[in-house]
Parts: sequence; C-alpha cells; structure tokens
Amino acid sequence: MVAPDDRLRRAKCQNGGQEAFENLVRENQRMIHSLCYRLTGSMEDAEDLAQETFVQAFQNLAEFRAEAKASSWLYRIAVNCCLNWLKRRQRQDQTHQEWGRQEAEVAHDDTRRAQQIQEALMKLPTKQRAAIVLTTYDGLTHAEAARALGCSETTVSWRLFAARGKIKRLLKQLQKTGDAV
Amino acid sequence: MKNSELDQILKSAPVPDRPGAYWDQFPRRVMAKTVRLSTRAEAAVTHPRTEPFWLRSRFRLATVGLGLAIFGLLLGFVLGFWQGRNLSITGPQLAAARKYFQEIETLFPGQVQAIVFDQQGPHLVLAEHSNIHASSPLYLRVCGPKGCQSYVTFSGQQIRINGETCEVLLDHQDNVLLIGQDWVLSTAQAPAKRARYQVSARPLMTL
Repeated sequence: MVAPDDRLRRAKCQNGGQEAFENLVRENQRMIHSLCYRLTGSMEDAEDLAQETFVQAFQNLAEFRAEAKASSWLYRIAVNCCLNWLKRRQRQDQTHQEWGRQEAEVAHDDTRRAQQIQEALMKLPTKQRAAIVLTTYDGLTHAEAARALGCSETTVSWRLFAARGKIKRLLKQLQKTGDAV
Repeated sequence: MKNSELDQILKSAPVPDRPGAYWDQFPRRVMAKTVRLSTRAEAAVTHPRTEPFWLRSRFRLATVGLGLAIFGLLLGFVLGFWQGRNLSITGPQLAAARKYFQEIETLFPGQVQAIVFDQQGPHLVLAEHSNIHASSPLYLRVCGPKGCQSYVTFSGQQIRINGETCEVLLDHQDNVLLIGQDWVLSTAQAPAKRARYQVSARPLMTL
C-alpha cells in the first residue's frame, strides 16, 4: 500500500504522472467534497470546487514541498477555492432550496436535522465556518487549520470561539421553535 | 451547552451522499480536465495565436464597441458636414437668385414679397400693390427635415417653410431672424441640436 504523500511525490517525480495523481484524487475526493460542501452549503458548488481544487493541485505539483503532508496541501488549496467561492454565491441559495425540496419529500428527521445544522453553519461568517469545519469535522489541530487558512493559531482559536457561540445561539433558537435539533 | 456536545451535534449532520458512480467518475473527470488544460497550454506554446489581439474573444466586444463609436463619430461628422454644405450659400447660387430677382423686379416693380426656390423650381409671392421695398433684398437658405429651400425676400415679409408661416426680420446688426409660431431662429446663433430648421442668410446684392 502506497501512502498518499508518497503517491503525490511519485506524481511529482514523474513530472505529473497521471495514474498516481488519479489515485490521489480517488483517496481524497470525499474529504475535499465534504469540506467544500460544509463551506458552501451547495452540492453543485462543492462539486465544482472539489474539481477546481484537484486541477489546481495538479497544475501546481511543482510547488508541493516534499516534507509537507499531501492532505494539508490539498486542504489549503480547497479552502482558498471555497473562500473565493463567495463571489459566485448567488447560485447557492437556489441549489440549497432544491436540495431542501428533495429532502422534504423524503421527510426523514435525520436529514431535516442535518439540513438545519448546515443552515446554521451557513449563517456563520465564511472564515469562522472554515475554522469550525476544519477542526470539528475534519479533525485538524489548530496549528494545521491555521496553515490551511493562512492565519495564526490565535486567530483560529478566536474564530472557533466566536463561531461556537453563534452556533449555540442558533441551535437554541431552533430548539425553542420546536424544530428537530 | 458544552463544546463537546456542540461538536457531537455538528458531527451528527452528514454530508448528503452521492451515488457510487459519481465517485468512480470524479477522478477521471479531474484528469480529463487537467489533460484538456495542459493540451490547451501546449497548443498556445507550440501554435501561438497569429490573429491580432483585437480579434481575440476577450477583446472582440471592445473592438466592436470601439468600431461602432468611430463609425458613429464619422457618421455625425459626415452628416454635419453634408448639412453644413447644404446650408451654405454659394456665389453661383446668389448670382442666379440675384439675376432672377432683377428680372422679376422689372416685370413687377415693388411687388415681390418673396421668391421661393424649392425642388419644383422658383415660385413667386407677389403683393397686390407696389409698396414692398422698405429694405434691401435678402437671400435665405433654410434646411429642415424635408430638405432645403431658398428664398429671396425682405425684412418684414412672411414666408412659408414646409407649410409653416414665419416672419423674416433683420436686426440692427444685420442678423436675420425667422419667427415662427413657437420658435425663433437667428443667423447670429448656432442652431440648437434639436432645432426644427437651420438657416443661413446673405444680402442679395453683395457678393
């Protein structure tokens, strides 16, 4: 079994060896899709952004430092792509509503709750949302999240503190209104 | 609510899943896109674009806009020049009008109110009595939406332009005023852009 980082190095050594890179995509695609979805709240945008992340990674293989972790490097590219996504935000509402309609038809409590949590996440400022997603969902340490976000650990801690406070308030409001959470 | 409880709630919300085929296809789609992009990049290096930059797609709109602007300017210039040329009074025009006036004047002394030169030729406007000549004759050229007409007339007379009656007056600086129902034109001022008519005038008896 070849480690993903080795795979990336191999892809790099082979001057963009396509098979090695394709395997790297296969291994990281779910993680990058999840990250993009959590940050954008849109399946379609997550798909576009995940693709853009890997394409950028392939094009910038030369910039990948051998001592770095492939996943951290991919995280950083994905986070940058998603932060830039704000410019294309208008698509999100439409898609989110479509997903909401689809899920409403199924009418599962779990999916309703998941949707509400995602909606609460979407109410956070983008950078606070990114901090929550990277640390809570993807299990990155503050230092790793700071590298991916291109800021200091203190900034990550502060964003997490602010984001948690807001999310708690939002979830409480939902509980009061008798919704699923 | 503790942070750990919050984390649990957050983690309980899964990302909507996609069908297995999507995950099979995705890496291929990424690779296909990278191949497409690198092919395009290679093509740009090996076959550099030979068309001028203004024909490239990103500049095409600007080029069309610039072309239209230049065309508009040229058209405005040509129309303005053409209209100005129409309006200007030439020596031969003035000489012909003077000759015509003198012949008519010998036939109907002091009765000529106006001689109108239009597309159909000259028309006479005569008074019943010979009491017209209080001032020297004027040659007017008036251009409007229906074309240009020339007149030999006098200050204080009325002429008809495209069916509208207006009065011709000469001020103390020898500028000609045309006074219509709801408009005034003067040869002393450049006509407004939306003026109904444009007028130029010269004394008939001087070259």
